[in-house]
Amino acid sequence: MPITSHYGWSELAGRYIDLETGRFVSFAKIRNVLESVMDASAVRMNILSQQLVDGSISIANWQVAMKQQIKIIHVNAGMAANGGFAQMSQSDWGAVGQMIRAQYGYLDKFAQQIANGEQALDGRLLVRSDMYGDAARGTFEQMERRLQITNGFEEERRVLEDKLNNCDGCLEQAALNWQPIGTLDPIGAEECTVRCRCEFEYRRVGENGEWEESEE
Amino acid sequence: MTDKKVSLGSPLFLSDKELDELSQVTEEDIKQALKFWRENAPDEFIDLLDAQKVDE
Repeated sequence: MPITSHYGWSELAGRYIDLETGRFVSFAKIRNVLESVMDASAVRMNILSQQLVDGSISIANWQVAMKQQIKIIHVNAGMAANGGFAQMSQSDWGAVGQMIRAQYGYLDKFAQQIANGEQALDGRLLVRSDMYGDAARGTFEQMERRLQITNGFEEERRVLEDKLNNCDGCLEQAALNWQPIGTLDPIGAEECTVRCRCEFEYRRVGENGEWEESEE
Repeated sequence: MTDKKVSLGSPLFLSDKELDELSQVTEEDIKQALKFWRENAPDEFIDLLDAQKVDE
C-alpha cells in the first residue's frame, strides 16, 4: 500500500484535502469519483448476468461472483465516505458489513426467483442486477451520515437531486426539511430505491450560536 | 464451434449465520477493493483512499 497520497483527511473538517493545492475536496466531487468506480463495477456485474442469461455460468457461480463484486463496491463506497482506508474503525467496517449483508440477502432471494422461474432469464434480469451496483450510493450516504454525527452535526435534511423527477417518498422526505440527524429515511429507502440521487445536508449550532451547514 | 451451455443448477442456500459471516469485511476484501478503485477511479483520484490524517 502506498505511504503517500495526493490527498489528506482533515478529521476536524471531516473532509479530504488536496495536498498540492491545500484546498478541501467537496463531497460532491467524491460522489462523482465514486460514480466512475460504480460504473466499472456495473459493467462487471452486467457481464456476469449476461453470462447467466447466455448459459455460460451456473446460478451458484453467478451468486458467488456477484457477491464478490457487491463487496468490492460497497467497501469502496464506505472508505470513500469515511476519509479513506486509514480512517476506518472496526465500527465503520461493521457498518459497511451490515450494508453488504442486506445486499447479499436480496441477491439470494433474486437467485431463488431465477431458479424457480419467477424471474425470467431476459433483459429484465440484467436491469435488476444493475441495481446491486447502484446500491453503493446508499452506502456512501449512510457512511457520510455516520461521519457527520461524529462531527457533531445535529440536524439533516434531504436534498432532491432533480426536482422534476423525484418519487413521492423522496418529495415527502424533502418536505420535512430540517430534522434531528439520523431520523429521516435513509437514501434508497423510498420507491426509487437504489436509483435515488438525493443527498443529505447537515447543520449544527456554531460557536456564535448560529446554524452552521456542512460544506458540500 | 458450438456454444456449450452449462446447467443453471441450484442457487446457493446460505443460512443467516453464514450470510453474516460472509458479509464481514476481511483484509483480503479491502486489498481487492483498493485494487479495483485504483484501476477504475479517474487518474487524479486513484490514491484518494490512501489519504492520511493531516490535523493531529
